Amino acid sequence: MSLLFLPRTIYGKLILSFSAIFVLSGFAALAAIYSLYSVEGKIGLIESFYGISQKILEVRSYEKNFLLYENRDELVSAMDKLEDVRAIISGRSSQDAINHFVDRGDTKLCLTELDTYSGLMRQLTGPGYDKDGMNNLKVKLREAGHAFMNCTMGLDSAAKEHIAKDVRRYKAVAFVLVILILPMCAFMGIILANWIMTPLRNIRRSVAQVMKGDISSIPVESTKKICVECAELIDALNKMLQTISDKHQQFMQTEKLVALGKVTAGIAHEINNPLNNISLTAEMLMEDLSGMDCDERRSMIRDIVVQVDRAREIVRNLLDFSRPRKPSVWVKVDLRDLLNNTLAFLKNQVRLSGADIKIDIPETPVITMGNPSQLQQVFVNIILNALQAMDGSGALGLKVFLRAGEDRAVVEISDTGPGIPPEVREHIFEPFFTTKSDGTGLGLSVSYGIIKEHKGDISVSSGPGGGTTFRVELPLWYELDRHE
Amino acid sequence: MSDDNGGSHLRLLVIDDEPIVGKRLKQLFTKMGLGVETFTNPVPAMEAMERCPFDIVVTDLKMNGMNGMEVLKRVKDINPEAKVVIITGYAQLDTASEAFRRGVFDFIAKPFRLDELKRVIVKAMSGTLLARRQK
Repeated sequence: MSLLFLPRTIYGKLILSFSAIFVLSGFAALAAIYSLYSVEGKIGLIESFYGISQKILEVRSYEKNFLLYENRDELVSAMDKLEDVRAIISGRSSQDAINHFVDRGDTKLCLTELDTYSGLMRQLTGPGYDKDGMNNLKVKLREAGHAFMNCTMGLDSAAKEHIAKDVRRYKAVAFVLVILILPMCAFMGIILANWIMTPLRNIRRSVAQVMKGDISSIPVESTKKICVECAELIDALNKMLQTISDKHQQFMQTEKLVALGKVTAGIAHEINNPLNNISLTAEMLMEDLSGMDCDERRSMIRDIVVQVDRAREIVRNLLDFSRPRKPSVWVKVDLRDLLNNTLAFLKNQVRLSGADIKIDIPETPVITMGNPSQLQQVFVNIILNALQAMDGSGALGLKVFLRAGEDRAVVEISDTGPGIPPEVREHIFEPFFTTKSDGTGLGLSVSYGIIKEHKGDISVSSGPGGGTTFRVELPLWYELDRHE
Repeated sequence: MSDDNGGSHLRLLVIDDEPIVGKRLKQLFTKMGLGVETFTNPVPAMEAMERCPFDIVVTDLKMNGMNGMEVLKRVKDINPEAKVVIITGYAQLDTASEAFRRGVFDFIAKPFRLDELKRVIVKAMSGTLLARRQK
């Protein structure tokens, strides 16, 4: 459900995530700026308290001088200073932040003390008192000064405590912010990585499956809903896969036509022989129809029919080989039948080459799964190479056996030609690698591709004294119940 | 045509691994008065040639054991006067010119018309007879 509210593009997800992170960090920055402004205000407050205590100290020193020397001018100066202090405390001055931080009652109390203190000063500056009265007032003045100082000091410490509390609070807020934002960012990072990585990982998995041959294209449906760019990427990859597959098909078809070109002589011979037999027999019939008895005629007509069948069979083989087949069509293939058909197809080519042929194929079926036309293409290719290598004489060996202990069939095709030198052997399955002047270099590379697609192996070995053996291994196919 | 005058003196050897070719040519040329022997394998055919040389040899080019070129060489070794006609299912220019260089009488591509072969054989026969008469 929550997916409905998510953007469907990587771009959108990035924008969303960065906006969220921007909002969070903007909030943190605002909080920090607010804290800094507050602290700045509080520094001003501390400065005003410093000013107050300086002034009070001056007042007290005027007071002390008065008490010592009874100079009334000192008291007048002290009163002036006291008015300054009052202005600050009562908030009339510009630095009136005090009231913000200190209890109003405390301030009023201090102002009362200040009034008492300054009232006493005013009395002392007034007309003369007797000595006792004077001394009495002096004691009161000293006490009042002391009380006022204590009161302002109380205000000061209250304000300081208040500031300390505020700073502690800011610290706590900052701490809480860090505690909150860090995991949120980590969480968002993980979510973001998942949003982006999950479809990419799916693509990687699908590509691996495609390479293993389990699927032919990458599924796009599920990705479309969560990642538009990924869907586009999948589309592009699928188009590429299709192109590669088309090219591969073209290669295979080209290679097949090349192989077909090589067997033209055999095919011509193969078809011309029955045609010749038919033509000879028909002409003989025509020439001497009346001179023959019924049995003779029938036997000659039967010859014609048999020869027509023979020609038809050759053409069918030829078409079977050359017709492009869908690569995905896999059926059960008996390797024995496949190889016998291949040999039938190449019979005349083998005969024309003058090579002997030694066949060793087991009695029991050797079943594998695959595309018979493609597998035949591989064997045609290897056999034609072998015939070409022997050039006129030698022995072509064809052996099929099961590898002991493993579910694999092995087809070995050997020749008694000059062998393949190691520096050629290592490149022999590479596309466009050829040692023949008229070669395309496609034959063995296409064969390699076909055998790998059939989950098999193809390898070549050559003895020092000449002779080459191509070995094709294919997995055997069993009925399911044989595994259970 | 000079089918009858002395045709019985001439012997024809047919070598082709297609048995029908031998059967039909034997039918045809026996009727024309030639002594015809047919083989599907060139090796026993050459043995027969050595026992009693043939005047005219019709051979396939591509066969198991020995090809038409070798047959030509062997026949010429045994009887230089023999006329050899090669028939083949896959005629290539270089093979044909090679055969002519080695003294083949004619080179015919399969499938051929009966008349075509008959004309060649008749020509070979008259050539052989003419040479014999000159001796």
